[in-house]
Amino acid sequence: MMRTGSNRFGRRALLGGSLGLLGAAALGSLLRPRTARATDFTPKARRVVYLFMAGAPSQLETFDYKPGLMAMDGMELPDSVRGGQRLTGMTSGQSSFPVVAPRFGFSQHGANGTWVCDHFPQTASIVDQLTILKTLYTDAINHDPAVTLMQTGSMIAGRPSMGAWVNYGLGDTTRNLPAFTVLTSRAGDSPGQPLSARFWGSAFLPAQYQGVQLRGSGDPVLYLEDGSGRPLSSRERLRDTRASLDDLHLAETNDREIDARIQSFEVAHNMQMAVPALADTSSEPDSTWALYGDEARTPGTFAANCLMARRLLERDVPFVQLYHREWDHHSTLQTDFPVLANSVDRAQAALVQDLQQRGLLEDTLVLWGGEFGRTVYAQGGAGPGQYGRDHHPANFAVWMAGGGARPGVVYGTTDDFSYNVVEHPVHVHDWHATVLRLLGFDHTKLTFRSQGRDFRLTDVAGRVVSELTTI
Amino acid sequence: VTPVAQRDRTVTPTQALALTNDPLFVEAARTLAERVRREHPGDVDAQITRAFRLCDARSPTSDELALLRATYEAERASAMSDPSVLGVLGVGDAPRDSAGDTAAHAAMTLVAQAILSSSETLTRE
Repeated sequence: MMRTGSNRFGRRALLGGSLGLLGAAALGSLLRPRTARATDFTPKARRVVYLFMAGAPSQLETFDYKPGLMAMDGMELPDSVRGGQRLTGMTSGQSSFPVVAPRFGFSQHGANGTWVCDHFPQTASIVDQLTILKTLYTDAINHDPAVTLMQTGSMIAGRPSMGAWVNYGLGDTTRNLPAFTVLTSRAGDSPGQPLSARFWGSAFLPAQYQGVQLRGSGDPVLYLEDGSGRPLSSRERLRDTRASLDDLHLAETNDREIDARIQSFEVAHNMQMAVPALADTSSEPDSTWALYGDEARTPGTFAANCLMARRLLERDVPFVQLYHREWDHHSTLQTDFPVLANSVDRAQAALVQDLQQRGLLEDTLVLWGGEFGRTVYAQGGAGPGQYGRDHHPANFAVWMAGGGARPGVVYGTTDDFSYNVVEHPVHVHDWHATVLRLLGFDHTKLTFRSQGRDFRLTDVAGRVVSELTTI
Repeated sequence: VTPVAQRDRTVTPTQALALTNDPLFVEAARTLAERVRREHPGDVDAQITRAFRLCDARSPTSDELALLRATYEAERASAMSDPSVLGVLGVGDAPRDSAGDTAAHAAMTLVAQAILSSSETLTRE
């Protein structure tokens, strides 16, 4: 059984004690319990942290090691490999599709000798704890629909985000901190691909399940106090009066958006005290900074967000999502990819290790990856010091760790060009089904009725890939 | 950019915090309280009803009025024993009419805040 959230004694006390005159309808809505939903299975994971690599890092320069490409560098990608697959408008007009071999070294790590690109030394050092999936594939070939599919199970905007589904599934949103919390970062000054708030939206799910973005500079949350110095009793009275007014309105209209607003004010009230404690890292020991690196002291960096993620997770926030931008290396992969890799490597490994040291990794699922892969052929040709790769939906590499993921597994095989899946294709729907399963949900049963039909994260597809898990 | 038929309604705790603590909203409640106190001196129920009508274009029900009146009395009593409750009267740049009962003004400010940030005021279309 999961926790139940209720901070409604104030309202009950207010109405029951000082008034006691409200109608039964109002009291009915007021006393409706907000308890956690039962899961379909015993959950392996109770929390998720999703490190989303926006822009799509290359699988060829991370985990899908293809030493045979060295001998084919500069040669034309055979038509038989391309197989007439759709290309983006950025390269479909190219007269030539020259293979470009990765220009970074790879080394073997861990008990299984897993190949990892040398630009991820810290990640490589924990590779035995990771579950690497090399054969994830998607339907989308451009960023926005691809991120939308990864986040919502549909390429078309208008479906709830994975975090919102999980939040809805857990059913308890009255907490001290937002149950679905979002942090964004980027490696440099380039704007990167845009992020849209609907990536963490709740769409047709009740609005209290949407993600809440924390700020990356200055205070993580604004307006935690009004500057008046008024006592807690006044703030509580305001909260309780507004909630009671809204409850009366809810009883009258039965508009579920009112319920969402009531809950948002309850969480907001609790955040007034919880956020300053969350943001105050002064009590972190030296070992924290040694692990995450000094960059974690700079708000808005990926490293700072990883540390913040750990602080959110240890406060039992069930879904934390980080977006790190600028992985879209069409033409500057050789120079920019190492910068991006360096910006995440230490902190993401630190997060996994930190969660483990604190006993949280066991039931925290860590997810890492972008929205698609990158082509083996060079976009616009490869120069002596520079090259780039276009979008490639047919296979890409992601990893998971903790929370029921099977450690040390490298799953799926691609062809010699990392252009097609040879064995164990895993669709985005399958990835979603697997994540939900680890959280204790049957993805076919976690549904919500909207516009006359039952919707789910996996639409009408999805299969749990148990090989990735300890199930 | 992907077109959508209908935008999601944003209901987040961060929005709730802005509505509760942004000096702009606190100041608006303070001046609304001042206005209804000036328009209906000495008649608290009339003040509450006026504030409610200005925000929601209808009179409060008897339950709503009783709720807001109880809030008013409790906050006023609190203000008379704890001067920090009066701090709300100093929020914002708008000049304050210093005449009158400051505890009553602080209490009506809290009532106005509750009405201004209620779901009916925020979402009535």
